[in-house]
Amino acid sequence: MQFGRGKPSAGVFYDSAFTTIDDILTEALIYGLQGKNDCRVAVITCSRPDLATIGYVEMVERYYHGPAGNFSQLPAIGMPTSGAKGETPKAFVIPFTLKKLDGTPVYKNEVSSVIETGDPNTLIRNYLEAQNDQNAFFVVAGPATNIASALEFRGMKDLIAAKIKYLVMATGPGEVNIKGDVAAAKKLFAGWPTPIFVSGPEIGDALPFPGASIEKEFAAPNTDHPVADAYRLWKPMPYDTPSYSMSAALYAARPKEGYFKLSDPGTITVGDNGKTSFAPSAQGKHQLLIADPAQKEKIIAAYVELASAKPAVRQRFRPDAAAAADGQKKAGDPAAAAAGEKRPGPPKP
Amino acid sequence: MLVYKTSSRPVFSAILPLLTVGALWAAPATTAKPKTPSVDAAGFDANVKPILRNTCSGCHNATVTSGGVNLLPYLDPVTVSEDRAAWEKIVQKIQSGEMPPKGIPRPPQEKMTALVTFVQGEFEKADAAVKPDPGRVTARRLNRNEYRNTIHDLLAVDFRADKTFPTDDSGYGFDNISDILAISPVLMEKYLSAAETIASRAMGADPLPKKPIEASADLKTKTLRRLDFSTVEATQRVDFDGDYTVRFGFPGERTADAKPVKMGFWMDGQLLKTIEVEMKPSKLVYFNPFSDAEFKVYLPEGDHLFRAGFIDDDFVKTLKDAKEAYSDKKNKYIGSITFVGPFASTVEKASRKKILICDPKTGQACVQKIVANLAHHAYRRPVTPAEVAGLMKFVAMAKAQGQSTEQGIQLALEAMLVSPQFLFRTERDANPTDPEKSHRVSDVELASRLSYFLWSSMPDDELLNVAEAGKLKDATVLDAQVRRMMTDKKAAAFADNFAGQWLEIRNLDSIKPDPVKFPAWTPELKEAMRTETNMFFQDVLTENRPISDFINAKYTFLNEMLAKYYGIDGVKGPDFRRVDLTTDQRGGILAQGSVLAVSSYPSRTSPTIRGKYILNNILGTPPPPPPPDVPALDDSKVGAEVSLRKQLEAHRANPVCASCHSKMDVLGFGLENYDAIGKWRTADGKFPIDISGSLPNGKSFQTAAGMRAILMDSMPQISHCLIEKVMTYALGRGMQAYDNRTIEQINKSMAADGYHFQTMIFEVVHSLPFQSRRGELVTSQNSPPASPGDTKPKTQPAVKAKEIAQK
Amino acid sequence: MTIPKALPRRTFLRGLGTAAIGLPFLDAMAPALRASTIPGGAPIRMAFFYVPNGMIMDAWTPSWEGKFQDLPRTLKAMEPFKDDFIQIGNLTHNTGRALLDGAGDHGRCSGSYLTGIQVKKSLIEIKNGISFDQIVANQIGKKTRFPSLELGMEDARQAGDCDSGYSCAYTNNLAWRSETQPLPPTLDPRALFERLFGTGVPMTPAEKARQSKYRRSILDFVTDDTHKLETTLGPTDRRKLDEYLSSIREVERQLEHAEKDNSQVDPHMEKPYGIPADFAEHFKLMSDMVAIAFQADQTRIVTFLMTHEGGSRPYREIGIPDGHHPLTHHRNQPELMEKVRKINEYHVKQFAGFVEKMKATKEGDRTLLDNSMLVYGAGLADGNQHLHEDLPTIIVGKGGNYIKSGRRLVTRRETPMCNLYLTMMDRMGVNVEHFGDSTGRLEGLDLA
Repeated sequence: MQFGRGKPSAGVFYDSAFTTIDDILTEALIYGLQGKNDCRVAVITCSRPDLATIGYVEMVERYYHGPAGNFSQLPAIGMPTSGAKGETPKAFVIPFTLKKLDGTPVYKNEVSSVIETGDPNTLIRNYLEAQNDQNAFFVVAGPATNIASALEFRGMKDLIAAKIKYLVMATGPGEVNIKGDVAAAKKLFAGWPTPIFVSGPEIGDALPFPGASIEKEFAAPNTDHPVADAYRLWKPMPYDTPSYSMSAALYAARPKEGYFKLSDPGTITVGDNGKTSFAPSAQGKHQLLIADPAQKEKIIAAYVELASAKPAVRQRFRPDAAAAADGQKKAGDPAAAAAGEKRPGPPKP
Repeated sequence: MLVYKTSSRPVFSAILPLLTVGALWAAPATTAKPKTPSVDAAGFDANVKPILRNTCSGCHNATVTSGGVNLLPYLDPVTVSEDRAAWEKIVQKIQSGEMPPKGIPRPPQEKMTALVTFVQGEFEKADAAVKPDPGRVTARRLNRNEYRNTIHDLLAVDFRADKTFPTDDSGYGFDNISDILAISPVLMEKYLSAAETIASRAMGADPLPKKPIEASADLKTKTLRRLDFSTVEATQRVDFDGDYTVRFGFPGERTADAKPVKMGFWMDGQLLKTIEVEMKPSKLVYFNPFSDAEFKVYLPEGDHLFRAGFIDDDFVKTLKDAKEAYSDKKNKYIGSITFVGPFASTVEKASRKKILICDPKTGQACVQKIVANLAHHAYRRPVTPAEVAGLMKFVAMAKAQGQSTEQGIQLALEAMLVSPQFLFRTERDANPTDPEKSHRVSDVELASRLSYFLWSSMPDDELLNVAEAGKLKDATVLDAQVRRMMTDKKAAAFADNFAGQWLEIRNLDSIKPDPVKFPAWTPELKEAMRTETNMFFQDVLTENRPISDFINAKYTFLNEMLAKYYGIDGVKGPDFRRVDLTTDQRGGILAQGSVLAVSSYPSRTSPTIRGKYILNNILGTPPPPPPPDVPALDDSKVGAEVSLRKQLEAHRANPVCASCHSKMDVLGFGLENYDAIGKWRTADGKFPIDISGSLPNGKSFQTAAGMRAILMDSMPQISHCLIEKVMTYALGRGMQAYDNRTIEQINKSMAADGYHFQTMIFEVVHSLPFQSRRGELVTSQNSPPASPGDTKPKTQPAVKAKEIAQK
Repeated sequence: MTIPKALPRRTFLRGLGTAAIGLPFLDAMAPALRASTIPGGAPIRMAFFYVPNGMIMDAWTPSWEGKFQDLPRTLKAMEPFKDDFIQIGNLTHNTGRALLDGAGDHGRCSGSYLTGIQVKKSLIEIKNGISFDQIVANQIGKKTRFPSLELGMEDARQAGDCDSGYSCAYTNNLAWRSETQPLPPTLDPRALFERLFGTGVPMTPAEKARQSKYRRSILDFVTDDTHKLETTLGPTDRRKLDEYLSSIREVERQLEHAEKDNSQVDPHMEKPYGIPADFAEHFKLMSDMVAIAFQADQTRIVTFLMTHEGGSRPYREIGIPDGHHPLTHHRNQPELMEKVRKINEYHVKQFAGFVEKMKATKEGDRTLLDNSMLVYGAGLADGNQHLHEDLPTIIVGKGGNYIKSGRRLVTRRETPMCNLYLTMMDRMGVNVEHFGDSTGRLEGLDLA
């Protein structure tokens, strides 16, 4: 039955600090991408041991994924047990206090104790095992704490090299994600076995996410929308927000879409003060995203379309994104392309 | 199916998007593409591509992967050689007419045929390109059946290896697969103690107890189990070989005009004896009417299941219930079995005759002769003087311990029975580690291949002699031997072991039909069904019938009980005989109770299981395993709210399930006229049976016989499947890609000859893999694994759930 | 679809698994010997009782954690031993999941249960890893007559493939001596009896001595025979014969051991005949002998396969004529789920009988149970969906005053089962850094 199915859509590993609304919009975005079968969310990890935040992230995951059961399990959210807990954004707490007209809570927090979370290394290892070779990617939108630990976790580096095609990191405003854990960042850029793409602060600043969409596109499918609610609670509306993390996720999922230009290959090094430097070199495994003004509209449209997409039941049988591309490429004939793209479905007998 | 997984396509598709992004990434190791023979691209574009693109890819593309199949990658000619498994599947679907399905515009037949011929042509080209490879059979440990038979033929001792040794695991559906037959300390321990037991039994060394022991089983103490009104059963341990007096107690009496009844006495399912039992009231006056009968039989040591029963006792059928059946006034029944013994057996032990070919008292020369003769047979090859000398040491050792010469021989025999030369069938290689060098196996090795293939036992003297004389190479001598062996009664082992596993008849012992729903299911019925299939299979072999008989023979083998069960009149008595079938209710194995019973659930039939059974065992096109997260179809409500057919049809509405079930279930429904224990029926619960169906290829049928007729159209496929299974069994290894060619050749000769079964056997025996073997490269896979040195391991601190919970 | 490449995933996994054997044990042994016996000198015993097809989790998992309150329905039979066992939540066997191998969860979860290795999906090329009970047996087994006992209740399946392309070897066996060598369970009570207590035919010391002299020289003879034979054979053949040789060595070791202690254990039970048809009776016979074997220190390690994973045994004795496995695919139909709950309860009830016997057996000032770790568990949680996380697991006995029982301990989600194995190995006195897919030790067993 499996024969000829080619490669299924790629698995996403999203590791974030979840300290900005951008980080949550990014969670929404990757589920939007999953709905379009551009990728499948493998596992989400948080770089801070903050149960309250995880509670919210898990609830958003449940919102998109639907409850566990019926052959689709809700993976645990990964959380380290050491390190600074940090502040829990109010916007992640208040939603749980909202009530429906009948007085029942709108959202349920199902993470009350550490046992409802998972150890990041174990989770990442277990879900990597389930990926096809070179068919998964990492999106990092926080300090590289978890990643660095994973790299040192026995056997994991080889596993990453085998499974992960590339990692895209959003360094965040003022490169806070580097400075947040300099030691980790060093380990990441020095030791990550596959290519790394970096979305610098300027990218996110150049591509503000339009707050107006919250009342339009987001409101459309469902008035009770956890992401929209958080957005409204984040700060007084209306406001737009930079898309540091979203830009990273969007490139990661659609590298061939031409949303961004790329620098020449090179090597990024991190100084003890957290300063990053980029040295071009042909064999370098690192590249920087470069904003392309011509693409701005297209990108922002994609943000809105994907992040506001209503929850889509994940297909049981992974469609063959790669194989489609493959089919077109190889055969290079229109019929195949058509079959890959336009044909709506099997002709009805 | 595994073949698909290793198909090289995914690798390729995986890499492409990567290349398109540019020289950005160093291509990972996985880009390496296997060397494969070129494919006639022009021919492909002419004959294959148009149909694939215009007819198939509509439903089998990247976004619509009907049945989980995307054919786009297969628009590339190179896939024909790179991913043959997939193409064989494609061709098979088209050939069977299963694809394109109804409702899809069908290209003209000649175009379809052209496609098939082209692809098959490419296959043959590919096969011709590969150098003939006999493959290689790993040293084969005797499995339990082979051990038991070999001991029996070697020493005339019946050792129940099947009860003493752990079950042999099976692979490819057979339990004689060399790579699977592992050996564990427990088994080793058992080999050692078995050798002691067997040797001492063979020499008749265990002294019988001074006084005979009496042990009895009766209904009162529940040590005797009631199977039905006229059959009882008891498990009894027999501690010594010897003669025993078996006494039966018959409480009660029947009417003065009651006819005598025949009573059978079985041990482990084998009929040992039948006697007449008088049923009239005895002239003697008892307070409770009672009579008894006894006879003497030879019983071998071991745990045995004894059964006694009145055969075709019509009288009990006139009784209305158990109360009557066990009332001393109304009936006479079997109330107790008593064993008295052992008594020194009147006959000299056959085993001693086999061992003591001369009188050890006459001196060392004779002892040496005896030991040499034993080793010669135990090792199934000529033995060197050195080997004999090695064994003679044991005779000396025993004597040094103050024991007799016979005890010395016994000890030497023990050693032989534990030796790898006895326990394993090893074949020597001139160049064990060079896969390029293949060679004929020696005549003596060939003899063992033959005898374990057809007899599941050691070669007999005649076979060993011609082999040792180097005559077995000679095709005519070989054929003469094969012919002799196929008709020898030892060939029953081939039916037991090959057919028993091919048709899954062995599972008769593990299935447990619900006694409430199926009171008709009795041990006798079970054994009768087994016998029917075994005798039928053997008949097809010995009478050299065409294998199409397996599908719809016009005859079968029945005794009175089974005939009645099938609703066939005119068969009298407990003995089985060939019976010609006048209706088409029965015919072929798919209409035999055994097969129908093993392919059902305990409480109901399952068309899905039966369909799968046909695809697996008859057509050789096993359905792929269900997708990871689809639960097995649940048809437990069947007969209650909704008919099984309705349920399954609902299930098939799901396109994913449909892709396989559309075929499985339809075939399975073709057998719905037979209930879960193979009885003919026309309704299931309150729902009438409707078995009509049409297969994906459009052919349709109305009756079970109709379905069999359709199956007959697939003779080449059926024969291919059977050849593959016979080869697997004969060689004790799975079939590999390089065996295709042999199988195809054999199938051609089969077709040419009208598919006679013996032809298949002869062809297999003459085939390259059966006659030759080759060396093998030393790889990490086959040499003992070196454990990876793990110098500086890093553990991460485990979490103390509670503690953090408090944070 | 996995593709052979520089570092195949399986090799990678196996690397983790066999790392355990690779370790230099000798230095690790010193603390080991101390740990494996507890004050008072009594050894610690370890047993695994495996039940198939998962469980109906609502009747197994309570809402609370910590100290036992009202036991969940399936565990009711364990009420009398409330203070003697601990229930563990969230343990996961990632290697039981499909990962990239498609259907066959039953074959996988049973094959990998004690090995923590993703077994090779094949009918013929069996590849697993050494199971952790055997790692322990290799170390401390020398101290007892039998390094370990493998027991079962159900005859191995005769024909056909056992789960969507997984060899029956994976479902027929729990313990694995090596990657390729499963240890088939003993099913026949009589066979077990004779193994433990001899045939019952009394032998004079002289006869015994002679027998073992003969046995030893026979084993020497065939060993040497094998070496001669091997020279002419190819690698796979040799590998077979190496299995044979290592088995011989094991038997020789047992002989030596038997020669040392002439004390014949008196089982105080009648020698059983054959295999009882009744499940409960069969289990009682077998488990009684386990208790005796533990008590007499004939072995310290037992693996017990209640029935085969994926098995379809009906349970008429409790009014369930349908097969177990088909029932577990209940698709949330209440009446089917109820039947499965009944089967789960029935299994636990049998097991509880064994626990009772263990508890009734005094050892020093404690009970045999106190000095044991009896794990009762399943390789699947929900059998309907084939879930491999939150596997039903209880440990009965305090492992020598170590485990703080009488409560439910819940670990973090996805915590590998192999972490528990590492901790148990510590208790058995075998210190290993890694096993299977372990990510560390499972702590908290000893924290009340």
